[in-house]
Amino acid sequence: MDKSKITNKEISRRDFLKYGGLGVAAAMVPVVTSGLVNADSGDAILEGKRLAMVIDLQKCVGCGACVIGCKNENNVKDGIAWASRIVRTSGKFPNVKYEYTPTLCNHCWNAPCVAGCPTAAMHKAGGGITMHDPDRCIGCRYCIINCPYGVIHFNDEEEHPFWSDETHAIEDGTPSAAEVVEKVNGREIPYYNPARELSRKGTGIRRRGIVEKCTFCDHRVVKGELPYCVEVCPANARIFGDLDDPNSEVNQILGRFPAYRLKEELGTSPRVYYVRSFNPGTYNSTKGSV
Amino acid sequence: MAEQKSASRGYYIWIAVVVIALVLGAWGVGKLLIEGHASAGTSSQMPWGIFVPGYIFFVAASAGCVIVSLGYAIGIQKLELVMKRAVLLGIVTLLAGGLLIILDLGSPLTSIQFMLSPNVQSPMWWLAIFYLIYLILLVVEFVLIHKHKVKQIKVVGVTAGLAAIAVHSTLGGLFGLAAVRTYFESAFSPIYFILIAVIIGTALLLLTTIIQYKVTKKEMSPDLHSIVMSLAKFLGVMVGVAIFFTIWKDLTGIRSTIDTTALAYEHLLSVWWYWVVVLLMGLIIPLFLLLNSGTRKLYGIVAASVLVLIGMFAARIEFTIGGEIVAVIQNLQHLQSPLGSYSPTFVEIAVVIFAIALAALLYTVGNRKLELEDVPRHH
Repeated sequence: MDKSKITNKEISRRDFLKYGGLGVAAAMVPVVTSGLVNADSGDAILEGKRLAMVIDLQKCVGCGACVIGCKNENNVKDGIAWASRIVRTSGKFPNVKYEYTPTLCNHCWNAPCVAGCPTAAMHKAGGGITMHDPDRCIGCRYCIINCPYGVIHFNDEEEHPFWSDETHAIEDGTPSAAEVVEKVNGREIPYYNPARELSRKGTGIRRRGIVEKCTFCDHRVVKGELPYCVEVCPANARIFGDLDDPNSEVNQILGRFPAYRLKEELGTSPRVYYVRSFNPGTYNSTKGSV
Repeated sequence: MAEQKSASRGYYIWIAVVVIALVLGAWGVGKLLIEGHASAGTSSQMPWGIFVPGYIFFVAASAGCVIVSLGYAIGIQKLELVMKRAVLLGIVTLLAGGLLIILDLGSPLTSIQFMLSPNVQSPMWWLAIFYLIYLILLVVEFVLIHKHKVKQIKVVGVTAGLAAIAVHSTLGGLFGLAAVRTYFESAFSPIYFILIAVIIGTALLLLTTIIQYKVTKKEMSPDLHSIVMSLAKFLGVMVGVAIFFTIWKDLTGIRSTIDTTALAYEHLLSVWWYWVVVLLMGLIIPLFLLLNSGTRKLYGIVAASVLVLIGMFAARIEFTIGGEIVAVIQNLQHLQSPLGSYSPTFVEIAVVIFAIALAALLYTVGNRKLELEDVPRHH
């Protein structure tokens, strides 16, 4: 009886070491593979740059071209807007004010979405762009919980379901979306921008079940082109550039005008700056009264 | 060794109810898998619906049951009478919760990335790791209890108890570390989660233990009766602590100078089911039932446990939705301001029913086959 007790103990100790060793080896896999992070194609090109955007609120006329242009360029589906705006009318007539503030992903240096993403799908890439890797995304939406700006969106539908829609806007008047698709020889999505995909596979049209957000048009930036919202603004209200280049236009503007960033107090260190403001109104010169 | 009991009519009715729930729930699961989250009521503004609170509830139940059995490992000998049941409950609730959270993921097949591309800064990554370790430890512990390996039970029991604390406090940390969601951000969130876990786990353990003896019409041994009474008193005290926490949490929230937090609490305290289901049913009535010796009889404890479980499930929903409901930036055009709206679809409710039914079925089968009244003794 005694001998078998000792044998049992020995066996279990051996087993413990064997399985423990295997466990440690298994635990080493993530430590090793985390070094093999899938590099973005832009990482090398944008090395050393600190990309940022300045939005001049005096020039901005609130036309929304940035919102639409972004959707065009990035194949953003119905119901999602990577570029958006804060619109606020406040006060009581005649003392009313109207504020229009274009928004987009702030590509925070201290991005809470990056800190929280369990699989590093949200990560900081070349140029300081807060980038999303569709191959690693498990669709947990923790990044959305962590983002204080509401700029991350979840794809809960198939890509562009609109194009299989058979309803007519005007019966016997307008064609349904499905009819249009048939007319362009059955390609499921009559137009989409294939250039969007060039910087990273899977970002052209995001599949169902993952998140998406503004990428500072990394597919354009790596080619030396400006983000599309910047390009398409008719008022040149958006200025893009490298904060690490002392002569860049963004640095010139930020050097001259006081700027604010959204929710600066949270410490996310956003890279979208707002300067100036627009108000056509005036008031009689006065010192006030008691 | 307990004799194989012949199944009573009540048992078959129970199995029928659980299987029907499972089938109805399977419809929801199927729809969710085919249509994705479009069949859920969630949105980009409010991405977490009832699946995440359901997961929290199940992990809490599991951690709570196992933390109670940790008491055995540190010397409360009488807990051996309920330990086997507690560990099985720990396993089945953990599995149900795991299923629920996998169904919540938009892209679960990419989960291998947890291993290939880890982000050790993320509390969610740690949660996944601890969850797996904890599950393995629980299974090992159950096998050891089943085989009466008394010496190893204590060691594995302590480790499993620590793993339970690790898992559930990390789950609390998932919310506590979401620094920009001021409703969630709190150093105390992990501790509060452990408190709630102990409450849910103890309630579930009491409920299943007492029901087991009531339906088989067996008498509880005096020792078992004594430990049930002790656990009931313990649950009452924990509920009291939770009430204390809740009062201060709600006061601090409503007095917050941060708009998002204050608005969320204002909304929360204006919703009838928070007062009726979470506070009254979930905490206040059970407090009286459990700490008043007149009502602390077996039926009273069952009633209190049921109320606690319902109330705490609702509380988890309130907690998760509360942190998402206020628009992060007011008047941001693609968000609903000032508050978002969410209500669960039938698909989501069906999926949660599926998870509950699955846990119930696994527990029922395990209860029947695995002699949960057995006490690990030296041979």
